Amino acid sequence: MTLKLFGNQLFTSSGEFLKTIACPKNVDTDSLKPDGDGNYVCKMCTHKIFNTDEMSELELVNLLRRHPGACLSINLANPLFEHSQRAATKKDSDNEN
Amino acid sequence: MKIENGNKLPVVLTVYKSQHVNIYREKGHKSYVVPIRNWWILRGSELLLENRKTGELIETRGRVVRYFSRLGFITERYPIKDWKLIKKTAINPRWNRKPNRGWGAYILPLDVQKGDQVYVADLIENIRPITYRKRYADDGEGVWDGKKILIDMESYNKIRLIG
Repeated sequence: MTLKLFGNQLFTSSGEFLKTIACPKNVDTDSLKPDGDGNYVCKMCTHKIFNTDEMSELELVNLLRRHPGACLSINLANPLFEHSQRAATKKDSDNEN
Repeated sequence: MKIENGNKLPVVLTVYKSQHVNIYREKGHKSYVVPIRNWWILRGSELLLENRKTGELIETRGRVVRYFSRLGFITERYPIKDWKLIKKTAINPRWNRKPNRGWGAYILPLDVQKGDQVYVADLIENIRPITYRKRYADDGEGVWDGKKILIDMESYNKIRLIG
C-alpha cells in the first residue's frame, strides 16, 4: 500500500486527504536535531518532527488522524510514498480538507 | 528507485562490454571494473493478490509479512479466504539491470580529480538504503578517491519534504 503525494499534498491510498506538507519557516534537514527516539526536534520552532522512514501506511494515517497538525519528515525516495509533481485534482480526492 | 542528479555532479558512465571500456580508456578516461556480486541471492518471489470483495490488487512477498518499525513488529496478513492469488512470480530486485556478464565498469569523466563528488546513474553494486525499505538503489552520489567511487549513503536521505 502506498500513500499518494501530489506536490506537497498527502492522501491515503483510497484518496482521503491527510495533510499538506508545508513548513512556514521552510526548514531543511540541517534544522532538524535527532530527539533520541528516532524522530527529530526542529531547531527553529522546537516542534517535534515525526520521521516517516520506518513507518507503515497504517501508523502514519493513524498519527495524522489523531494529530492532524503533526510535522513530518518525508524522504521522497521512500517507496511508501507515490510522488507526483502535479497538484491533486478533485478526482484524486473526495474528502479534501 | 532513483535520486537523480539534482546536484548537477559530473556523471559516471556504466558500461558492460570490454570493447566499450577500451574505447573510453583510449580516450583517456579512468575506469575500473566492479564485479556484480551474489546476483542469484537477490532473487525472491512475489504474490499478486486480489481482494475477493473489493477487487483491490496488491503485490506482497507472502501471505504473512512481518517487518520491524519503530513501534515494534508489524504483521500484515492476506488470508486465502479474503485474498485470491492471481500470480506468483520470481523476481529479481535488479531486474532492470542491463544484460549481465557478472561485471560492469565505471567510466569516470575526463576532468575528475581525487576527492571530487560524482553522480553514478547506473549503480553496479547492490546497495539497499534503509529508507528504501529493502529495495535496491539504481543510482547514487559518491566521491572518487583515486581508485574507486565511495558511495555516499547520506545522499539517499537528502531528498526530503518537511512540514
